[in-house]
Amino acid sequence: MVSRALRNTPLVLGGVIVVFVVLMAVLAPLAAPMDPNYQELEDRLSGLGTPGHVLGTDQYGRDLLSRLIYGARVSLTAGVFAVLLGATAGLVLGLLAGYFGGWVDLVVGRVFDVLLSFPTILLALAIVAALGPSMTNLIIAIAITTTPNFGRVARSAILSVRSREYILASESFGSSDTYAMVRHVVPNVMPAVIVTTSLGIGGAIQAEATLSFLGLGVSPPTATWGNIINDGRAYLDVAPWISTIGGLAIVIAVVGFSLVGDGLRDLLDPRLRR
Amino acid sequence: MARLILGRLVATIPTIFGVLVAVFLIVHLIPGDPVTAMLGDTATREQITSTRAALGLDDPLVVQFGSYVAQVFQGDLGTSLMSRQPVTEQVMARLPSTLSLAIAGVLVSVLIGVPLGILASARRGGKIDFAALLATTVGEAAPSFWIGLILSSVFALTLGWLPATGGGDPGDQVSILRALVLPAVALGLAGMALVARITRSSMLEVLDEDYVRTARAKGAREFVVVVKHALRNAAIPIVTVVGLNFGALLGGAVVMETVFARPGVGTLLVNAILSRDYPVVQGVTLVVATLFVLVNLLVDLSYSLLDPRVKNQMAGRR
Repeated sequence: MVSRALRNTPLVLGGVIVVFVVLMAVLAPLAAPMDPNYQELEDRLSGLGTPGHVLGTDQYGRDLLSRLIYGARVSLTAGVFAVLLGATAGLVLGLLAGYFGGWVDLVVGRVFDVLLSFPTILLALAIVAALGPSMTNLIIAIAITTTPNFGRVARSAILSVRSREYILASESFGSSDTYAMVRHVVPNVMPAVIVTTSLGIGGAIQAEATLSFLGLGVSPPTATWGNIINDGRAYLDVAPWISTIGGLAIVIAVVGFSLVGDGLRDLLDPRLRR
Repeated sequence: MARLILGRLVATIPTIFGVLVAVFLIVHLIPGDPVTAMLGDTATREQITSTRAALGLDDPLVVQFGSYVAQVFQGDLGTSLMSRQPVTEQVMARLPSTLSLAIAGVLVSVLIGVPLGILASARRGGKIDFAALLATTVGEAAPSFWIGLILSSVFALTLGWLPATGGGDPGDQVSILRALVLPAVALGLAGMALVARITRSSMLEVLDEDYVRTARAKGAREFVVVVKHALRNAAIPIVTVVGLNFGALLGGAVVMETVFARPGVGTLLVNAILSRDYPVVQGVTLVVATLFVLVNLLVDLSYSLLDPRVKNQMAGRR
């Protein structure tokens, strides 16, 4: 398994990017050269390569490299937690729908249909509109938009194993529904869920950036990649690097998670590869 | 065909009903008292009472929902708390701008994505294929609003070729088209990646088919083989993705309007969220989601036009 993983180019390349981004987020206090909110007004809008500010500064003279490193914390936290929450909710609902069928399947299926009837970002906007802009609500909103994707993956996976002999045998020996699900069904669903999780984190990072950019996510002055892009928006003509750097960070991180997702798909379940 | 369309329309009704329920519940998800949230802490008791009555929030939930549905079916989406104008009027005045942006975005995604996918499949494993893979990977990873900002920085602010903001002068078609170019290209580039990927994989599947080999053996030119024989048969997944993309780009258009300060439903929605104008939030969400459902329905129906086998399957299922 390990040697197969190491021969999988997308997985290795994506893994290197993801590990780099995660380390950057975890070690932010050590890795960042300055406090991300420290303002040096005399150095405002300094360009790339300025001594002491490798990636320049923003309109308040804050060091962009430090904001980028600390931004990884917020963007990753939002992305990972939103997808984990969405995956858990989707997995539970999808398993219940697929295992019990009947009216449970009908109701859960309808809820998924309705959630998928909204363009993703519109649904997230509507939820944030109701709950109010904050980091927690942002995570909840993104989680809700990802739930049906996981739910459908779990439901279809359970339907494909539901009538297999080993599950029927387990039930005939008197094991409970919960035991059969946890012991036999969940392990079969996990490869698909892991792949969807990895691909979903990239989407969640983009969603966080979009909502923060619109002023409906994490409030300034907290450094997030979306906020960095938004900060640079008014200075595109004199300091285009501010928004460019924030966006590049998102592109690199999302590419990393996508490559890991693609690689895991090959590794864990070649049948899913199309 | 009429039966098929009718059947699909009927199947859409529960989804639209679900969308209505979800949009109705937006106000009821607000933590605490929704009216206080809308009007702020400085609102007087009279203002709170009159707004509660105007929104029907004193009635039982089922009654509120019944009134909401009845209102919506009469084309009444409520009144804006900020402008005091009917929400329907505001949404309808701005919808054409958003729709034209989404449609232009889809066009750009098809015009770039389909040829790119065809080229990549025709040169499988070559440099063009690798370049296409790189372009689609970055295209998928880059947030569309960021692409919009970069395009604006280069083509509007630096080169001055196109306007950076606004929807163009009303009545001046050239000005409206010029204002549409950058946001449409930004949206289209974001949507292009999926179209190119699906085109490539669908083309690769059909390029190995016997009829393609036969066409080649009969001496047909490569262009004719690819476009006439392969592309036509690879069209169904491509149309599906283009249709699904329209929905995604409709959502993207909502965000892109903020980047380019275009007067569409997106800017209306974002401003309404920031000012807690919930009737407008509900109205825009309902209209855009309904459009999304209807576009998916059209995509569904278009399968049968492209592939008679699908039509027969659909008819047989009923």
